[in-house]
Amino acid sequence: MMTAVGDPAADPIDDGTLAGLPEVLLAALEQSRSATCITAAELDPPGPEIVYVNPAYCSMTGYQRGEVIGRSPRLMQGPLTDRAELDRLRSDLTAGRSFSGQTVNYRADGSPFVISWSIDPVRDPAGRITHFVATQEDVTEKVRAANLLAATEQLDEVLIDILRSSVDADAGLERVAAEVARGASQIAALGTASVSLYDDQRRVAVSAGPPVGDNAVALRFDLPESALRGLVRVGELSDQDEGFVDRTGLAAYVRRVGTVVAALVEYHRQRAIALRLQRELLPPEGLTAPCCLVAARYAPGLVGSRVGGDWYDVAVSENRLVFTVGDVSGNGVEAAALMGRLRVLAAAELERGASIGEMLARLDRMCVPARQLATMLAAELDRGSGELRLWSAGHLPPVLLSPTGGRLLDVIPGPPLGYADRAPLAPTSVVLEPGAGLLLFTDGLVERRGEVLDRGLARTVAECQSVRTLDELLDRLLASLPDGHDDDVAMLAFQRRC
Amino acid sequence: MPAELRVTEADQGRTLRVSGELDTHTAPQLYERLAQVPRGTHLVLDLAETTFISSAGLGVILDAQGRLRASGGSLVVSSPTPVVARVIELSGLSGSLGLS
Repeated sequence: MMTAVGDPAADPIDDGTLAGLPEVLLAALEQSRSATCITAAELDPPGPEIVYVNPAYCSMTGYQRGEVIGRSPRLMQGPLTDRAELDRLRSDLTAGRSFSGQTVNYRADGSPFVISWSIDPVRDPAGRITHFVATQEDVTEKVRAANLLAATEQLDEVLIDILRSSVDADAGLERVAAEVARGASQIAALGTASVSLYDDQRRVAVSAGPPVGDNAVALRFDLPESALRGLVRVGELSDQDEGFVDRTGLAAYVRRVGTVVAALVEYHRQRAIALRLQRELLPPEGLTAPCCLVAARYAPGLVGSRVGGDWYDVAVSENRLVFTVGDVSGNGVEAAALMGRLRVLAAAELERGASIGEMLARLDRMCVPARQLATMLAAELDRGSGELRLWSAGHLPPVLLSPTGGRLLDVIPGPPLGYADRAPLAPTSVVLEPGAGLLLFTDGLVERRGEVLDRGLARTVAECQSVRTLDELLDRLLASLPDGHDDDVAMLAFQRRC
Repeated sequence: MPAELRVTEADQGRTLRVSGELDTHTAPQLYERLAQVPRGTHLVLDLAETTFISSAGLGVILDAQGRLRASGGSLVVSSPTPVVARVIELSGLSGSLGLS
């Protein structure tokens, strides 16, 4: 059996050693800084009756001693007092157990504060409970600090999560707003808070949280270098509860919210610039070629502001069409820049009538000093005969499209561009009948971590069944990319019409 | 769950056994290890326990091969799992990495 603290049976008082002590005990209680309250043992209403409070208790609660003696501690309770905590208290004391807990109490002037308190039964020598003794501490500031810390940490978690995932600017702001509404109400400890971001015309861009009353506490924040302004409102406050809102903590939190939102807005702005620059390195998606239907797509990796090194292009001359896709290894500015140079060089070589072999050799010589590898697939269509010749520098095979479906075209690859002492590539040759076509793509489309490459290739081939238009096919393939894929993807498809 | 990679040494440092998944996340780890291989080493990369390889992983191997060759050494891979052998084949590197 557990022994209650202060159980006289466990450590009997020897009257001899304690002679004259009751006066000291009383003086100690009176002068202690711990708020102490002693009640009678009767728990049923209107009890328990307060028989003693010390001056520390009076200064904490604002009550005079005469105002509380003979009354119940229920006097201190109010709308924000935690009922479940009181039920637990009653069941512990009824069972003769000690109790510790935390809730909101009210001072004599009606202002709320958070107490942490412990109650222990006081037993007579026969073991009967005659009183309860409670020590209380005002922990309002501790709770406020803990709430502020928890809400700030949670806000940072949400920001990190957004930066690691693929959500766009609007969805990112909405997630932050939802968290701010939650975090602000946690700090306010009153359960309702709202947040809105609005522009200089006072049009609301993002908002979250329930409507709050007119008597809400309102805090604004500005976003540097942005037309957006933010507003956090905490309510519905009764006049009595208003002082309970931690305005200092809320102000600190809202400053942090301003920093986080500004960082997020800036991140999305930078990412948009990077993607725009990258897009400018590629030809438009609305490519055309004589006697062919052509469609192309480029999808950046969705995470971070890194750019990628994938490209596609079409070169048209009198007797041939050359379709290319390529992938400079790695990510980032270097990969994107080399990609841009390779694509332009390839176009210039083909423009002057170079053979595919000559063009690949030129690109190879550009990659070697850059110490970067690139894979590339080039498909040359003879406009007269329909003969299609394919060269692969370490690139994944294309899918041959026919009206009935698709199949992988087995193109024997040579090493990637930029790989030392490579031999000239030998082309693979097929005849492309009118109505047939080809899908070229980069590895971001098929490569999945922990999956065999052939499964990704098979999935792509399966998507090529019953295709009505090339645009529909490419959109379907884009839609099949997993959420949060971090590699970029380039795709080029064409169909021979004549 | 993040991918895991383990690199162990055999044959007085002339063989490195690569165990686990070699992808974008673990490739830098292999890069660091390969950078410590002395110049001029004739290195064998044992891929018998490599369960996955991405283009980033392949890039790290080719980079090391380039450095070793430049100092009179070499790099070949041995006993790749079918999954890894297929990636090497599709990348046109079977011959270059000593597999054909």
